Amino acid sequence: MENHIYKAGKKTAKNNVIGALLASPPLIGLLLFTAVPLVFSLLLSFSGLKGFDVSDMRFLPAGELFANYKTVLAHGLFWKSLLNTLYAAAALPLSIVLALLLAQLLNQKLRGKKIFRTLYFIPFVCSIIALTQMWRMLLNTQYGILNEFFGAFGIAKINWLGDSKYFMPSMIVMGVWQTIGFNFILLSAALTNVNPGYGEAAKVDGAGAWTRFWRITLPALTPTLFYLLVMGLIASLQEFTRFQAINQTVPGGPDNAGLTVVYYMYRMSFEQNITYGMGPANAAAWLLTAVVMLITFLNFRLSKKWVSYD
Amino acid sequence: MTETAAKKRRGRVSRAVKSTFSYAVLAAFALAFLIPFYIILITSFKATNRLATSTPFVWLPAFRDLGWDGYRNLFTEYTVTKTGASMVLTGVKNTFLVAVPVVFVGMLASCVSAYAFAKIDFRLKKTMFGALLFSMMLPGIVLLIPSFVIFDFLYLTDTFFPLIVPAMFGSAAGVFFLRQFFSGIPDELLDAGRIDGMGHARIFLQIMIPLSLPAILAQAVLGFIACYNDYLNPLIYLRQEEKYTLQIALQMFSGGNMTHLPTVMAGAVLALIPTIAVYLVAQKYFVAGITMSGLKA
Repeated sequence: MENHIYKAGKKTAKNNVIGALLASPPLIGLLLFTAVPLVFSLLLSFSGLKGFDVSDMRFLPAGELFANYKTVLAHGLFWKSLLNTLYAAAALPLSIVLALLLAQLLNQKLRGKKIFRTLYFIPFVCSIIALTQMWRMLLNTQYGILNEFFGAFGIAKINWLGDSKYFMPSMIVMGVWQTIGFNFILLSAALTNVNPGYGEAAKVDGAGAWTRFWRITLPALTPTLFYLLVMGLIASLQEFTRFQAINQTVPGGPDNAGLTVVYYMYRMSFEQNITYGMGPANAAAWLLTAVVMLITFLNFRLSKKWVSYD
Repeated sequence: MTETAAKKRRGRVSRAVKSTFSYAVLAAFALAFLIPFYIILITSFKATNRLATSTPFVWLPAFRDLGWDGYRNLFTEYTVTKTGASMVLTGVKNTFLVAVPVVFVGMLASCVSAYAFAKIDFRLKKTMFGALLFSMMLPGIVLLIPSFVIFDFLYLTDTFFPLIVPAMFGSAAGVFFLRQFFSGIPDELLDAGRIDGMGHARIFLQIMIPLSLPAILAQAVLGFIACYNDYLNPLIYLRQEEKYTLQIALQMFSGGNMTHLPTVMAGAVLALIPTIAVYLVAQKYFVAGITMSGLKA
């Protein structure tokens, strides 16, 4: 009686072929547009290619095989861009904490809940180019609303995007503003999945709201917080668009305060490839990959101490 | 008696305090999100640059100080040198030329693949799915320069090819999400279809797709927004003005000069309208799409 109709659930010879065939398009894409460039990037990082013409590509002599990596590691600007990128990533924890606050506040019976939810998420769907133009206006020294707001408290006008001291804090504020919505949506969904029974039981036992949040709600949210942290870090270590678009008069910001690692790579390969070119740019790409992988690994390692999956 | 009454009253008072506090915080954040949008919207309608850049900021300009100049400039002042066409309209056209095949063909590829992963048992399944999952953890930026060199070698830079074709193979994230959804559709339904003599094609088109429309729509909306807002890829691949997508066009003419603020802001407003509109209309699917791919990971 073992049905002969439902064959799709069995590893028949026919299914082995049809299944693999139907499943394959994204994998073919992965092979052609991810695996091939990935290997090629590694090769380029050991080559002396400056421009884009592959026929000029020569590998570095065996003795100097790591010359590109040495060049990048000895380049002060690379380290600066790495520090800038890590500094900019400070937006992530801020964004997550504020999103958690909003999600927790909206996880109660309130009128107009839906409007708040809708509103908080809007910046996340917006074009980053449009948002950088918006923030350039908000942060403008002369007529920006931020200086007008602070001026009301007697604070002198600040050149937010033109002063290397204030450039990154401005970008962090913008980053938090832009990403709160995403973190908020995921945390809200996770909050509705927290079993209310535990909270009720703790309440009967006399636990206050604060204790209940720390002991019951927060542990239940740790898998989501971990996901947001891992994915958010991978994304913020690769930031580029905002930083390239925000300051066109001084690319990279005053004193390169806004030069991220990806921007550094872009500069080496597309803007200054006469001096540097593909070799150092790809070496920088792999160094960044190593940093991303190291941080992700540490994240998973540390997660055993604070993430609870029950 | 009196003691319990007092307790009850205290409870009511504290609840009132709590909800007032909640509203205050929620409203403060709501304003922080709304005010910037209001500022660019009202600025885009201000008649003169002097009014737009005046201090203090004019929140409610008189009716006679409002005008369409920003929008008129946006469409007429910036033209593609070669064709004489409006740069913004050209950008809109190009953006859709790229986004339509990416969203439709890419979604179809992701759906078919997800169907196989969810409903067919085959030998290489685990390996293939593992490879897809692994690719999601890779920092995509490593691919930027080598891809450019390869496409340049194939004479495909300054065309839409690198923006469209790789995305037409579907995305790992899309497959991952849709597989999750497809797995939830009971096998009995598929069995019933097979009894009626349906093959994979008809089961896919007549059972899976109709039952999964919300999930597919969620992914399509996400895909459209990502494609519409993409900046880095068009920036490196497109060189001639007549090929610029909207994001590049906007950045090119208003990135450097802020000479006429209402025009720049009109450009920003225009760029924001499509994705915000799609989001508001398809909000339900959109939020479901985000939370499902995030929580099940």
